Amino acid sequence: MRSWPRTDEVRLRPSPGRSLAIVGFAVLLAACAGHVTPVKDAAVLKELGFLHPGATSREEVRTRLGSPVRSYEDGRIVSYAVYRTADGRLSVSASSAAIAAGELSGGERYTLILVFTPDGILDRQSLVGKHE
Amino acid sequence: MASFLLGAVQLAGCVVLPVPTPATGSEIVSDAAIGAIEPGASARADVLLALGDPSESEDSDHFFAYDWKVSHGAIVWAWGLAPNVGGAGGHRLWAYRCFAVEFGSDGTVVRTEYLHVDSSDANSCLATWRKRGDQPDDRPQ
Repeated sequence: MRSWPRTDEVRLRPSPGRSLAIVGFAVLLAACAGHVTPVKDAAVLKELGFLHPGATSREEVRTRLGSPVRSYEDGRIVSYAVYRTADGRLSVSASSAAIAAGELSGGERYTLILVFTPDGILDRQSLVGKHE
Repeated sequence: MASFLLGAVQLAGCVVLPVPTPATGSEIVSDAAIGAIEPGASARADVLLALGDPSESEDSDHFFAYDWKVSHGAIVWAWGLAPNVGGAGGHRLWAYRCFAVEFGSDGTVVRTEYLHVDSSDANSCLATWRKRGDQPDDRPQ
């Protein structure tokens, strides 16, 4: 069996055919598509259990989550960036300290969309994330 | 003549293979999501609840765009000139896509478009949309 020298692409290459197979396998391993869809996982949504359409007020949301990242239609629709922490909880805080301490798991990020009625009561909600 | 021979030897020891792969990418807006947004029926809230914040917005949120990149394959290669001289590598092939939405003054979706964009225009979907006018691209494969 031939032994191959190092190049920039692949370090260990006992033969061209085997190298090709390794590269092809690596390419296949890297293949996974993250689609943007609303989260349906009950365990994840449980973390947002304080949100009750028809009951939760805009003020209560502000108290719990702070200022939204973005708002639309004069504040009737708001969005929050939500992060999953290493212990599985959801947090609207992604401080650099939390990232440095490894409390955020792989930077998994969701967008929480809240739609309020004209009188400021939560009407609809969705947690949008990337899913394989 | 020498260079011709050298080239022939190089070609003889070179393998290039296109490798189709399962789709990969991130924040891809699926066909199903695009199909669920109906001009004349869906509202801005429906779009946001389904897709989250847009990558781009213009004109006081009258236009939204969601950008992503996707790959359906790669090129892998291996070459060899002589014993102990050779290499192998791979390169994923990316395509840039976006989904653009226009809203009416009442917040209802007026029209939508699925666009193929060049890598140089990857973050300017709305500008590409304006530039192309009414020339829609095919839906995702």
